[in-house]
Amino acid sequence: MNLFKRVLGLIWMLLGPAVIIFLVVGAIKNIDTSGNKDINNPVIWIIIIAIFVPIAIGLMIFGWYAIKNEYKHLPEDSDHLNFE
Amino acid sequence: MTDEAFNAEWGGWRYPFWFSILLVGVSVYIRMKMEESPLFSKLKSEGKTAKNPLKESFSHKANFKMVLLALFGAVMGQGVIWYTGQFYAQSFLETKVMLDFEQSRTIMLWAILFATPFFIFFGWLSDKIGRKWIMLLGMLVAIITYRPIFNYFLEKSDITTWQQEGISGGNVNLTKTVAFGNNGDSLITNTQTFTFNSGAAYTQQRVDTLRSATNEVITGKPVVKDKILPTNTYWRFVGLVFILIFYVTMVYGPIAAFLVELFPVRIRYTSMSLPYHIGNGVFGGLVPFIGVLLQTTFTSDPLVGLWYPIAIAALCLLLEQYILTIKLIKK
Repeated sequence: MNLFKRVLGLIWMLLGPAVIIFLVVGAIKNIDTSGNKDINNPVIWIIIIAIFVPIAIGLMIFGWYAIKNEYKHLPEDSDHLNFE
Repeated sequence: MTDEAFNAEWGGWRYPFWFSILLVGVSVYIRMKMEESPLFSKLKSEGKTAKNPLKESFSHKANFKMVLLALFGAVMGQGVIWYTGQFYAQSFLETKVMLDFEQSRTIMLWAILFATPFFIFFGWLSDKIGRKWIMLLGMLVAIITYRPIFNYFLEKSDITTWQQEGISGGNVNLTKTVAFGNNGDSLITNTQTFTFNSGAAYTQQRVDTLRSATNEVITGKPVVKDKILPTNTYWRFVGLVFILIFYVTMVYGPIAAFLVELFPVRIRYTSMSLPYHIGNGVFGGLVPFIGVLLQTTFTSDPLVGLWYPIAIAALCLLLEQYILTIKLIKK
């Protein structure tokens, strides 16, 4: 199971850039005054890309943690969290 | 209430906002009566509460990895299931199925009314048998049944099937002409209403343009709208939307307790806030936009917009593998 999770981690790491590419290509294709009025507004695309890029980076970090088997154990008590 | 009275400056549209004052009062009353949880009170008395929860939540690896896990392994899937069941379904009935406004809204209202108690039921059940499996099951059945359910909506509202049944009430034709532009052109709106033996009905509208200079008529494309479903089909639609919202109750009922139990008390509130709001606001909130985006890109499949919630829920289902073996209920 742990091996499965670690292998999946690689997929999450690749999925991050894939999402960014999909959105950027989508923006380039659809931002057009004569295009579909629901999705041709550049402001919406800029907002969506600005929101999704950090999320995609978060997914890559998640994948990296999964590969390193960081999710084998998580802290169960506030005392286990050493913030000092 | 007449449309005029409803749309007036201080008309009916304001009534729900007036009513919300009562809800604010209830909310304030509840908060005044609330006490801190025993675990937080204990931590507070020991002086162990977080000095800078934001910094502690996101700049420390031990906690940040849990924030990511909560977002991708639970809330992301819950968000898309919620928005698909309640908001995308309504939009689909009105813009793809082209149902009559009143029918689409009453279908949603009945379904929400019947399904709402299940939020409490699944919250209660998750206290008894655990949160994870209820949420996983909700996502799984949604992934499997979304396309068949939405396809049923399209099939049962297909006017070619209705036309085979024969027209009972005949059709009503209306033609309206209005001036268009400054050069004497006119727009001619032709509206036809068809009624069928089963009780179904629909309106077909075509807008033609009459060029005054040449007396040429440019024929517009007919648009079918305001479909009225027969009574039995109407209640089947209510049943199916109920099922969609039932899925919402499965993933949403246990989520609050699930998030609470995922994080230790010290940084709980700040840490669960980010994944909750991104999961619902971003992943859920973008269901309509990405649905239109997919529809515009892949025009041949009218259900293509569903691949976004299906893919996100499937991804979340896979990512929950990381949570399944983790012991919840943190101190």
